[in-house]
Amino acid sequence: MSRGRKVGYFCSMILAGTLMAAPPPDGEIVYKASMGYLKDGMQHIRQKDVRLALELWIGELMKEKRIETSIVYYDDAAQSIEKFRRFGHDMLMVNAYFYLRDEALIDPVAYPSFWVIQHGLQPYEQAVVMVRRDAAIGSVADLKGKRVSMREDNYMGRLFLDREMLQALHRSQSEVIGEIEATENHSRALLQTYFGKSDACVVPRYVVDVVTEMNPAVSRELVPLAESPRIFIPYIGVFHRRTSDTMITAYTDFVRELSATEKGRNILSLFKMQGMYEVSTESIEPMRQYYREYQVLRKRYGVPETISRSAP
Amino acid sequence: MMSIVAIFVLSHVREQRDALIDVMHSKSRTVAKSIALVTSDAMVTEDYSFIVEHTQSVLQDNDEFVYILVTKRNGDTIRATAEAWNVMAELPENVAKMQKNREDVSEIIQSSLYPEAVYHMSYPVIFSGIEWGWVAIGLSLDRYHERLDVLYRDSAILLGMVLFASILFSYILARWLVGPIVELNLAAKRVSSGDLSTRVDVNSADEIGELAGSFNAMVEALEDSNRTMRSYNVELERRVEERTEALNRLNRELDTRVKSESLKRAEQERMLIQQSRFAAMGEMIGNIAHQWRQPLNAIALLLQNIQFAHEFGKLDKEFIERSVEKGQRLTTTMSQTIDDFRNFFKPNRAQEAFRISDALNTAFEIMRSALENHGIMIVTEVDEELCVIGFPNEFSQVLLNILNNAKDALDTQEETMRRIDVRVFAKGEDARIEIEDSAGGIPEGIIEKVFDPYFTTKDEGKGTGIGLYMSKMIIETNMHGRLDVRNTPTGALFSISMKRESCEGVEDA
Repeated sequence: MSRGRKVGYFCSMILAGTLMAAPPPDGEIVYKASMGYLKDGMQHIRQKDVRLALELWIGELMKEKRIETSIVYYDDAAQSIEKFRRFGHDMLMVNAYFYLRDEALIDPVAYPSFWVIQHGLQPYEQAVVMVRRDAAIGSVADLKGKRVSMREDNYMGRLFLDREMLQALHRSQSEVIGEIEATENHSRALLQTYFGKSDACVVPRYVVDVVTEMNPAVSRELVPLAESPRIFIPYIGVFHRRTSDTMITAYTDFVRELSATEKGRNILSLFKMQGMYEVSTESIEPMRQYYREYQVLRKRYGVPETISRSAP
Repeated sequence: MMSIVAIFVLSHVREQRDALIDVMHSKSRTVAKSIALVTSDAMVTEDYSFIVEHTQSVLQDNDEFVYILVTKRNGDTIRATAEAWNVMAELPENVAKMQKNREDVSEIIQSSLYPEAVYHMSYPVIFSGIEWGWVAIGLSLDRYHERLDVLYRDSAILLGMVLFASILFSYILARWLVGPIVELNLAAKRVSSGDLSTRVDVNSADEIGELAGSFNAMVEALEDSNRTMRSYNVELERRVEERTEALNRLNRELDTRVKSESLKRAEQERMLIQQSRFAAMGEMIGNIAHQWRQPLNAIALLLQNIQFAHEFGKLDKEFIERSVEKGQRLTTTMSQTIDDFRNFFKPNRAQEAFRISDALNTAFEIMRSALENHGIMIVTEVDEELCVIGFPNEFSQVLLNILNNAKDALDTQEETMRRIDVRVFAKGEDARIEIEDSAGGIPEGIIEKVFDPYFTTKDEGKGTGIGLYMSKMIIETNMHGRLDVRNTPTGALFSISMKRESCEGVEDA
């Protein structure tokens, strides 16, 4: 290396160091973040226009915090988790069931906090089996041969129903009930039952409350058969361990300020949720324990896991 | 113009209202049709949960719709609102009536479905030629009323603006038309109040402009006339001042003359009084002479008797003493006569009550000798108890003056006809004295002048013309009585009237 080239290289290094150390000017993007959303299990983002709106609004809000955000939507859980594991995304947002199922893959690379979505008035949800009063269903065992409605991707509801079946009949719900009548949403499953199209349904408790409030006659026609503990979370978001603190802080602020901006309120309305909040690992431990018990039961009775078609 | 605008606005309002209803009809029909299309399968398959979800979705997206009814052929109806839904077995009568038709029907109705009136659209769900039911929509009239309110408000504003513009236009037009007339009127008032410098500035080529020109010309003529009149007035004032000065001068001269004449008159008065006194004194001396004539004759006879006595030797002491005594008595009588006259002409200082008969006797006493010498008969008829208040000596002078005039007048008559009647009597509240002679009276042509000063019918040297004037002054001015004269068939009658007074305390003379 000639002396002149050495001097030029040295000057370039100095300049680069100076630029890196200097604070970014106002409005300049300080971090480019990538987020992965698993469509399976997240009924709200099934539609393309919803996904576009979500990406646009989150992008604009995060841009205000000088974070450039891109969202990748996945149909396959394994693919999304694998990408996340390789730090292909700063954050992964999935149905809670997939986290429970694949926590062994996620937790090693995950930031030790979770961001969860709240739909009802309470942060943790409760799954409930509602049956028609005139359907002669007195226990879970009576559901055999009955028509049961459930939202198509209500995996936590399926988990609850499967575990109830394993406990009561030592068999999986697919063996006992057969094909679940899938509906587009929770309320539809409840209404199907009310209007006699189904004998029972599995829905979150807050859906029963909302529908009953709109038509009190529902509570006279339908009665709860079984209820899960109030420990469920619908969707859960995890950051990668290598994600910049700048991004985590910005996202934390974004979540906190959701209801304070027009775009934030649009996001809340789009997901029909009350809000998002950060929870610790310990906070979701009851749900994890519930799933582990399910796994024990399933293995005990030799029942395959058929909650989701998405392969682990 | 306002009527045209009002009609236009009313027509416009009606059209807009119809248009709003058309909009509601179109909107509700479109949505009802859309719901019918979407839910027709569900109605056929009796998938009511879908119907509930869809209708609620529509309601949440369209806040103008207050309810949606989806009615099956059997009459069961799902009623959905934004906040609730339920299944109804029976519809309100007016709503059910609208669902009898196979065509869509809409109208503004009030029913138990919603507390307020709504625009209700009933749309039949016909699928494969079969009537499966009806979709009915209740459209809130809030926006309709809001737009109507805006329409009414805008119309009112438009009307108001047109009204305002009309008034403004009318005002401007009125000012344009009436302004010059008002200006002319004001100018005329200023002219009438005296400001002839007023001119109107109206230069239009119409009748008003012509009138303004005539007005200006008239005011100019008036101003010229006024100027001329003022010059005349100044000249007149100058002349008046000159005449006034002349009059003042004349007045001053007259004043001087009057003063001079007054002084002359006072001097004449003084002289007249003096003459009167002199006349009175002459009278007095004449009367004294009459009084003295007899004692003087007696004294002459006495002296002649003394001479005869001395010539005949009979002048003895007794004769002398008797003659002296007689002479002394005669001189005493004469001296008494002088005292009487002196007292008579001495004026009283204060008024006092006195008997008329006493004053009359005093005058008679003075006149007695003169009357006797002239052969005049005095006939008296006197009330002795009549008293008056005044100056008794001056009253006696008046009587003396009247008696003296009567005496002079009777001198021209035959002695047998010479008579003076004196009557003193009461008449009402007054005491009246009448002295009537028989001298034939005073000629009618001069009877009114007998009391004027310096008027006399006597020969020169015999009368001063003051006596009766002074007598009237004494009676009427000093004693507040009345002295008159008139003719009687025999002569002149002088009468004195004075207010009667009590004679109590009045001593006899």
